[in-house]
Amino acid sequence: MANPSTKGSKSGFVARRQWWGLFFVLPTVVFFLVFFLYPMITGIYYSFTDFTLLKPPTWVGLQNYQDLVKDRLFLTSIGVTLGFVLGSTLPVWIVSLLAALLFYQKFPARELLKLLFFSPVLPSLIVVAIVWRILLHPNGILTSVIRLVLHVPEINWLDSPTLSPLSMILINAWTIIPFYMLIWLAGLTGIPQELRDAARVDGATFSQSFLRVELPLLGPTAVFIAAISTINAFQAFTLQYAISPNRGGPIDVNTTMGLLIWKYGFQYYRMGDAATVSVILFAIIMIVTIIQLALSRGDQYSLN
Amino acid sequence: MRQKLMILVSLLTVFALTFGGCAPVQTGGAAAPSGEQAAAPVTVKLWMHNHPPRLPLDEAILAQFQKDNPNIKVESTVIPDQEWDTKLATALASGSGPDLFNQATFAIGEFQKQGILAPIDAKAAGYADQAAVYNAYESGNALLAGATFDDMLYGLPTELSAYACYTNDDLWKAAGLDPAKDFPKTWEALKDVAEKLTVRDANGAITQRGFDFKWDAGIFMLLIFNAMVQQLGGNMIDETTYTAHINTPEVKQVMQYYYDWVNTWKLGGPQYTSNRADFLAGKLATDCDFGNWGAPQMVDAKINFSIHKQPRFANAKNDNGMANYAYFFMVNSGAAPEVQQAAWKLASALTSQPGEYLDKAGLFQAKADFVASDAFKNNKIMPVFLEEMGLSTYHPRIAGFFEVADALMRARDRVLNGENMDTVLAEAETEVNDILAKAKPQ
Repeated sequence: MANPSTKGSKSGFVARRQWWGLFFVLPTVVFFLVFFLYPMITGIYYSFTDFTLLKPPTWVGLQNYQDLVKDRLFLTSIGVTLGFVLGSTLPVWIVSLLAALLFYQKFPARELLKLLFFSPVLPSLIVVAIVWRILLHPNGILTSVIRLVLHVPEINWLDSPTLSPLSMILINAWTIIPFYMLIWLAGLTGIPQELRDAARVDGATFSQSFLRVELPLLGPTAVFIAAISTINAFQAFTLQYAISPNRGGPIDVNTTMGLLIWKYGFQYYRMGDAATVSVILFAIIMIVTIIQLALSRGDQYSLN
Repeated sequence: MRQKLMILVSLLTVFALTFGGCAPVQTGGAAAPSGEQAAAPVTVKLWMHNHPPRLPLDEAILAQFQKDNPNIKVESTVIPDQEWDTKLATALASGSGPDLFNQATFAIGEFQKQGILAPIDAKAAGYADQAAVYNAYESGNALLAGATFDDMLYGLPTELSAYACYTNDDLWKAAGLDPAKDFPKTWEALKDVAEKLTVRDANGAITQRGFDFKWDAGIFMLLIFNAMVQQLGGNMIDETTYTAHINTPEVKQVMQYYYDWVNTWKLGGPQYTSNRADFLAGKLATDCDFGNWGAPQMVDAKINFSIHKQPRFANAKNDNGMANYAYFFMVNSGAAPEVQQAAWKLASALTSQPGEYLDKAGLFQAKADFVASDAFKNNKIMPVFLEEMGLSTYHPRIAGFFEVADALMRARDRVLNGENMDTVLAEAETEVNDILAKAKPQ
């Protein structure tokens, strides 16, 4: 039978520990509430209002959502965003995985090359944008290289409606492939060498060993990269803002949903519409991420 | 029980921190009572966009103003140009906006529609009445029209601008041309001159443009393209009725000229470096989108330049140049009445030295007595600008300005990329009319 006095001091100890726990997580909770939850709830509220920023919002219910369904610019931005996501996910996953496989092998100057390969991740996106604007001048360095083969006077990398979105995808890939390569590399390093050795002893080729042994065990890494890269691609803004002509041009082929939110909110004084687009973008990202996680729950292999 | 109490206290703290800082958005308030001196101390929050040559002059005037008006304290902030629109709008939304700000006429339509602007307090600004303000400026009714709505003035100009054509005389002479004699009077003749001034490398790529249009922002469709349409007797945007007239012969003629410039004659295009940067770098021989404020930059860049009027079309019906635009000091209608008075007084002080501002910052404030002075008449470039301003009108001062401008730019780029002009212009007219219908003040 429990001693009543012991029971009282034990619950007091637990209460004190809970109080201190609450106290120490309070800053994080406040930060989350103020900078994440409150803006999110406010944004959802603004999506139901006519809000220009210059005057208080006026409730309009679902009017913004109804208008957006017919909004040509909004529909264009969805297509642009999906195109950018497609270009910034699957190819990036494959190339970064191949790079990780390469750097997993031992060869002379591997560490130096890995460092150089990783360097695009280091500068801010704005610096990257400024540098690439110069490189992608119609008569710039990249054109000079291509000209050795194609003999063209100029190439409109950024002003052609066809080449411009591809240029954005390539620049984005250049900055993020090294980062995902590192994550793949961490995943590869976590696979015990004995498993590879066992596969080879059983007569598996390099590709069979990779496809049948290593790749399944990279499942959790793949899920992480897929989710993060997809979310980042859907939120594309900085490159398109900094590099594309007139922030999203030409002819809005680079106007992603993120850029459209900025245009509606801070250029066109349509903050209600901007909030609506951001809610829709949030919903799309949530759905895609849930689908990805659901699909990845199939045959998952783990070392545990 | 104690645990529940602790949780409740924590949640209340979080709630207070989250919502305690919210302030109501400032809405339109009453205009300041006329002519009363604010005896109690007031603070005027002043925001200016960043124009480095102007800053030392502002600082000197602010210091003297506060000395002369010890009851008025000025909190001055200079905002980088790229951040201006975003910061101003969010500050006004949060109720922490400035009392006096230096805003361009591009946004004035929206601000006027939203009731942000206070009408001028002429007496606080040191004038007998509003008419006296117009009289104090050269062609006041025309040049202050940028801040006039329904016969009410809503600002004092910090700079009045139009574009004229600058030639890099060294590049012209290198091409065997004399800017004084050979500068073209028509757009049609400009094409031939530009070809002589264009330099290409062995691969056929342009290394020096003779002339090019300003491609890189939608507003130039309303400052430059629409002005060219007006030369032909058209007008894409009717500011009074909020209607668009884009699928017209005049627009088609200008759009065809733009198309030929890029695709037929290959003399320029949106893919090249911004005009102003290339002109200052000596890679563009003629630039027709600099205002008079550009002259100090050319002096710094050691460009040997001369100024010319804009070309007109050979079949022009109107003798206008490019659209006028301006930056005005505007007062926040949500500021307290005594602050509004102090703000107008400050605005008047900051616009009281037109000679200094033109000389040192390249900013033209069009005060009548200054324009009549020898200093102005002997100025190398200002008479050309003043003449062009007198012949031209302001760009449409509409709510939805930037959205309309971007829609027009989209149409232009579609045509440049080979889409059928009739289809594009018809669709653009529908799109812009939809934008105007939503933006129109009720």
